[in-house]
Amino acid sequence: MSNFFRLVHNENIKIHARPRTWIMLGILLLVAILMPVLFRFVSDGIGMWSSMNTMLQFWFLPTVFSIAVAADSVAGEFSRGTIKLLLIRPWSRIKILLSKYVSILLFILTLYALLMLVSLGMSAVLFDTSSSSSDILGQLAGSLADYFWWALLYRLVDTLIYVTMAFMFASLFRSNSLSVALTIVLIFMGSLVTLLADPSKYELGRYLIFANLNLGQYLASDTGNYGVTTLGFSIAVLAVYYAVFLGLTFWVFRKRDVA
Amino acid sequence: METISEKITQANDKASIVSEPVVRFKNIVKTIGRKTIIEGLTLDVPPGQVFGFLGPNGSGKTTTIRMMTGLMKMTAGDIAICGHSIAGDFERAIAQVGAIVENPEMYSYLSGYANLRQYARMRSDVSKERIDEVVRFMGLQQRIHDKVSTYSLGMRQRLGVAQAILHRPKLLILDEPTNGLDPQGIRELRDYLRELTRREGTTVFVSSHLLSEMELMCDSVAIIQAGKLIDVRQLNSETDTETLLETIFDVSQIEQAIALLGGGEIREGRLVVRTNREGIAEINARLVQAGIAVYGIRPQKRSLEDQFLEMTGGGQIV
Repeated sequence: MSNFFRLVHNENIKIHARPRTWIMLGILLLVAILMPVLFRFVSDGIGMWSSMNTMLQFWFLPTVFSIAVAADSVAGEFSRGTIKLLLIRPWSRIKILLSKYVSILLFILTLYALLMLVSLGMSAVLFDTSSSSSDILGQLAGSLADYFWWALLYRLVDTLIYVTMAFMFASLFRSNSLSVALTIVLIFMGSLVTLLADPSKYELGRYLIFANLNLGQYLASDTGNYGVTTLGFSIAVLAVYYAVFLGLTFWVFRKRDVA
Repeated sequence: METISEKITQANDKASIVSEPVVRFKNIVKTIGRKTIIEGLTLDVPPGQVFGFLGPNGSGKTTTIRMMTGLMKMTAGDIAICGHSIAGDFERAIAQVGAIVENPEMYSYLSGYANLRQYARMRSDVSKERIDEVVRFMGLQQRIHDKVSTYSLGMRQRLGVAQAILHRPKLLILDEPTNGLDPQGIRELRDYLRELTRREGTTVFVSSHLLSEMELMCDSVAIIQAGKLIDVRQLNSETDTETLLETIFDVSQIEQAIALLGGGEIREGRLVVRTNREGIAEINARLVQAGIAVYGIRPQKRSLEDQFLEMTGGGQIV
């Protein structure tokens, strides 16, 4: 049998042959170039790491774009009917779906790298590279640079979970719009759900995925937003959700009759 | 070049005589919810043929094809393709298969060529030269680098066949391939299916509800109705000497002829006899010897449609 990475290559082509992918990359590029310029004008005397930490506000963009691509990668094959020609090849369904998942992970990394590298370059050019007098350190223990790298890593974990969620919905419902809508709704509902099932009051609340997402909460406090969880606890809970999402996705995709 | 390919074809022909069926359906059952779609289908498809799978709409043709290609799971039974079970050894079984299930849906934002490259990458045995060869064979070379979204239905169909034959499958499965094609397109399809079976020894399994088309296209047909196999028969077999056919003799003295032959009937002023190929020659000789002039002999070949209507009671044909 031929190489698995040729399947991944196929999926990459399907992602990058579409104009909308280039629009997404274009938007990220614009944000990464223009925002540091804007910061330069509105705030005086900040350093490059302050600029980068402000850039984190725009890191919802790679998440949303990746969700759209992940949902389409699976649901789009069903709605176009191309799934039939894809599944009648000498590859197990598991490997075909895995190649899609790998290509999406690569896409996430591409978006992160683009936004990070370009905005880092712009910030380095426009701002003082050493820390500056107007940088707000607040209750931070380490440097602003450390803070940025940890926050970025935690963002990546969030993106991974949300994208995996969208991928699961696409495998379950085979509808692109439903998968994207459900995932976005869940992102926004997260804070509402944790407000109702407050983890600091109810034991059950701690095990909700929403209480444990946004690992950045542990940068401010070791016991998180609710004072009852720890970083290790949240990572464990997220790992369980992640495994269940992926397990369900592959199980349904493997079993399903394709009509 | 020519002689080598001829030798290969001959070798294939010889092999096909002794080899086992390309597809073997073993008591297939498919139920969806409480509804039984396929009820105990058992059928062998011999190699090197264009094999028709004929039935009215809703008789279970597409469901059967989905099970053959692993898109649907069987409730019971098994399908073996070139001896490999589609349920137990999917990857090896499907490696022998090229198929179009329903409409040939392609990635419309890619070129025809990029689409073929997609499928070529999923195998280790498709070279760039092979892609070019298939593109030429299907007559797509003019437009192959255009986006599929600009293709006509006929061209999409041809691209669909191209992706299906790219890896020289032993079995080509086409589900209602003539849907939406104009007469010209249907004729072309017929021609290249013939060419495929002749040149590469491919077995073609083609489903349709259009009887007249199957008659022109297929060597054999299996007729299915309401999920059950009703009949399997040979078509267009010139060498079929055993079948009794109604033959019309246009003769000068009908009564004398009937007396001489000791049988036959008069229909529209002509003599009608049921006999086989040899019988026709013999009757002709006897009539001429007895001094009865024979103006014309016409074997009445019943069309598949007549046979099909007869078998299915005529009620459910679309």
